[in-house]
Amino acid sequence: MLTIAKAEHPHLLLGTSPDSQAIAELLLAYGAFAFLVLLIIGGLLVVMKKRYSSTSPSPEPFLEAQDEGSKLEVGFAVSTFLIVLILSFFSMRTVNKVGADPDVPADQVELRITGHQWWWEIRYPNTDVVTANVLHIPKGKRLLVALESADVVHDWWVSGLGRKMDAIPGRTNYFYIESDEVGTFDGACNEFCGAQHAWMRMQVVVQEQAEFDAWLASQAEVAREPAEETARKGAQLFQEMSCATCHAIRGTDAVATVGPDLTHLASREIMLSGKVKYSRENLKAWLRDPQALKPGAHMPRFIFSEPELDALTDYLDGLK
Amino acid sequence: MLPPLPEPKTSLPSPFQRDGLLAWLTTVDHKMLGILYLVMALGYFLMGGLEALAIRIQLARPEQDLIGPETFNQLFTMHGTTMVFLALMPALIGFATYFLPLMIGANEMAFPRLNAMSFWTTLFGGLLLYFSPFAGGAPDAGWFAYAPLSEKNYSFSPGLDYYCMGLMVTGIGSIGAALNFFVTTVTMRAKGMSWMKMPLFAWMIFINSLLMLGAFPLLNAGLAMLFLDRQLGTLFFLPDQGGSALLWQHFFWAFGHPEVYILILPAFGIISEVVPVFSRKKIYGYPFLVGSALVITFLAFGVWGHHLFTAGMGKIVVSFFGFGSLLIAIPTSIKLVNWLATMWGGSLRFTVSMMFAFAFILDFTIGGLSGVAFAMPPADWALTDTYFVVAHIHYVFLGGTMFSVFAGAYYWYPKICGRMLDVRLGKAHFWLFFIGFQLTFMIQHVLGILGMPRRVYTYPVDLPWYGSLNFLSTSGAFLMGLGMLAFLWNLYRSLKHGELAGKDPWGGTTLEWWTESPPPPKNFETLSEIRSRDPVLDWTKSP
Amino acid sequence: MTEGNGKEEFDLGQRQTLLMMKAFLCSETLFFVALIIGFVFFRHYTTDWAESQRALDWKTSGAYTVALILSSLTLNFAVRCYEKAKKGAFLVWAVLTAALGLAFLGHQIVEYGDLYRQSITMSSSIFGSAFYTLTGFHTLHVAVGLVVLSVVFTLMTFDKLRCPSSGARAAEYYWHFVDVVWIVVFTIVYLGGVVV
Repeated sequence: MLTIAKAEHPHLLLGTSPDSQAIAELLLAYGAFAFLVLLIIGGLLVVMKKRYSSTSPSPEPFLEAQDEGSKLEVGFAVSTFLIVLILSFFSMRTVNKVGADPDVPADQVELRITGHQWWWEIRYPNTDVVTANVLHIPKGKRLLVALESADVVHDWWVSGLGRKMDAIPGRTNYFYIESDEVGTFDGACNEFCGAQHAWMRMQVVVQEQAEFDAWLASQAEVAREPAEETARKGAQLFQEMSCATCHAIRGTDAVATVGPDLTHLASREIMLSGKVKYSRENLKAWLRDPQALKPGAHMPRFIFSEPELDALTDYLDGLK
Repeated sequence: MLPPLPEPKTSLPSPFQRDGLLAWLTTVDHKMLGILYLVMALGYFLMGGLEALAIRIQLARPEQDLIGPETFNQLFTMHGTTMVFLALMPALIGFATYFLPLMIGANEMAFPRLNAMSFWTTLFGGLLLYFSPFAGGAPDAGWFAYAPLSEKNYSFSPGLDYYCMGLMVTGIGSIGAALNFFVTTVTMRAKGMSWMKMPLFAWMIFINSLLMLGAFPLLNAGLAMLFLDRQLGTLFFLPDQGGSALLWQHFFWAFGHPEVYILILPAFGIISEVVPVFSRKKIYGYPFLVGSALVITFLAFGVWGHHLFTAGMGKIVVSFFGFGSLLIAIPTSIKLVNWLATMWGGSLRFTVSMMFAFAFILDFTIGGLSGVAFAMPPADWALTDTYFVVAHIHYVFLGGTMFSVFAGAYYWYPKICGRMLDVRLGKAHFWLFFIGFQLTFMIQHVLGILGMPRRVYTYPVDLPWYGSLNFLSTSGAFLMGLGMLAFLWNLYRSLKHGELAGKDPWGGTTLEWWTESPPPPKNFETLSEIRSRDPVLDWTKSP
Repeated sequence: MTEGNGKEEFDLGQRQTLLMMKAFLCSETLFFVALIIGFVFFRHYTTDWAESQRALDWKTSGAYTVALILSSLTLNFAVRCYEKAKKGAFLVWAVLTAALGLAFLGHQIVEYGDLYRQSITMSSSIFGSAFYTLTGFHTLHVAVGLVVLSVVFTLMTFDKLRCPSSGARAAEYYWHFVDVVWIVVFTIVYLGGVVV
């Protein structure tokens, strides 16, 4: 029906997913109807002010109502009921198109996403790939996502690529994500989840199939061995300072899933769930004092010395 | 000569026997209690307004650090909780407490002492909630406190404990008020006032009491369970220990949805009083106004699921709630026919009260239209939890309920205080508030469509339009603040310097206009038999 | 006490009291409905529910349920006798009501103690949470009811209430409500557990 251009930033009416387009069509059609109703009501108010404003200095005598009201009221009720039926029809049709069945066989799931306070964990089943906050998908494929939460209720919302869905602890929700065009799409957590809810954003990079396969393959590799001396010191510090208690770096002994997987940290365009772009400086600032960047974040504040900071930053910056 | 009106057997202490503060603290007189409710509502409305201003200041520019996330989260939680439970409800209950007995020709409520207990309990609940910042922190999980975020392990400050206690206490006050309204309406209508001759405000308060008696127990059950989780270690909403996060949402919204109708039905009642008087024309379709309110009450308990459309319920469940939510728009919107048809062919007098009634009709329509969008699950999947829903709720709560409270205030102040409110100050209040309101909240529809989530303490600097739109939205809030200053000054000044009102300054037709302004302790010495919906009209026409 | 005939005449204030009690009881019913829904929901969705369920002794509880039902009957007789000015009979029925009610309350507490000794507490499992909350709120309502009945019976004994008394009637409605709620809760929690 409508050809809709791609949108990089969240925008309800422009998306590249058939689901987003179906929803946008419903929104626009309803919007037109709502605007019409508003014009009528507003118009009536204006007309009445002009036509029936009293000019008398004191209250006039009371008039009777023009009639008991039945015909007009019943007519209104019947016509609104018909409108309700029409809206319900289009609404249910879109539900059917966009919604996913709650009972799906596990092998159809293409993405496992888990919401944490305040970052997104993304896993690709049947591979070793784990990433955080930034994910890639191939263009043109309708991917089934299994969405869960590790703590409180979150909500996955990348409006260009499909519907939003709650991540509720204790249950798995399923929805589809799909894009007909390549590009980078921005999203946000959409259920209040605590102190840093505002900075629980995500980025979805849609690529051609070949490029996606290449990305997936590189993400599946274990972490690069640190080359320089400082980076090697950083790797050692990583183990000693108990970073491994929360973070995983595949290929090392660090396997915890409390915090984001850092195996390919430096390959991501954003960090801290969208608070800042990924850069060596930002990484160092975060390591120095997490609470200054994201107050309330669960990462403790370690008191590193400058050389320690440099070493860790060098090491992590090498994890491309 | 008709027998005197029913009144309590034991004589009530007259507030005019004692002086000052003691009289107000011990009163069981429904008029004084009504005033107490209204003063409480005004105070908390200003508190909630300051919280809103703080929120808007923080959001005026992108990535600002004026207010950190932890404080911000407490601010919006307190703002929502305050406005719903401590400002809007007491305002409506206050008008009802004052005017229900007057309008039905009674001299008191059925249970004056329960009336007093209800007020003080409501106030105490509010004080409990506002004690929380001094006890370690205000609640910070949003006004609907979703679990498990609201559990002890994610919200360690005692804020949510005060939230649970405060709301349970206020809820008891509301149930007490509802019982009083219910019994008073059933048993104390003046002779000749059959149900279908009652003023519409009285009808709406009566129907509202059914909603309150039905909804508040559900809230209390949910709050009790959350409180037990936090304090005694039960597991109701702890998913990793056998509880259910989703169950909280069901319990809360089973209350929460009827609550929004609790907040709007009395507003419909006020508008149904104000519009005929200032159109000099009797209300059109009275039976439909009553009938549609009853249909709303019935449907209100069956549509809560539309707050859970993104929770992953199946297609059939979602479609059921969607259809019900669309259906309930019919009895809600049909009232527009009544008010517009009343005005049609009348002589419209644009008092400040009528101006607010006009604004109500416009803004409630906008709020209703944005609400119906959410009744369609796929539209909800796009719009929910964004600034579009913030726009919607403010159009119905502020543009709807609060505007009707303002309309009622300008309409009934002369009766309560015996003096008229100043018209120029009133118009200043109206225009500042009306323009500020549209500026703040119309823009938020756009912000929602542009993808701004709600309950965020800031937003990225590189998102187009967010900064400028948020800035404009904030400036509207300041206009509303200025409007409130005009209103407050008007309320205060007119007490001593307002023009004397007399019994019936507006040419009203319902019984409150038959007695003095302000009414004496005993509202009516005697009343003739009621023969129509407009008794004052009958009695002033035939001498 | 004045002589009453078959049809009691209540004045406006008394009718208001009775209406309020009825409205309040309808409202309070929904509070219990919510707790019951929670209980049933958790029973349906929790896998290891049945084990804890087995700790409940439905036979003993059933016996005390009968006691509670009987107390409603004796209360009904007590109020009817009072209204017919048969003070002696009223006293007998009143005392029986209080005794049966206290027995029920006592058993609830003993049962909680037994379950506690078997390590079933409010926080040990979701069964514990749901069970104690639902039955606990009911027990609380029974306790309040016993206090109210004691006060009302005392006032009636010393002729401080009118005849007929709306206060007594209202207390009677409340007690019947507490009874009916328990019949539903017992059926769902105890008998339902046997079947499930």
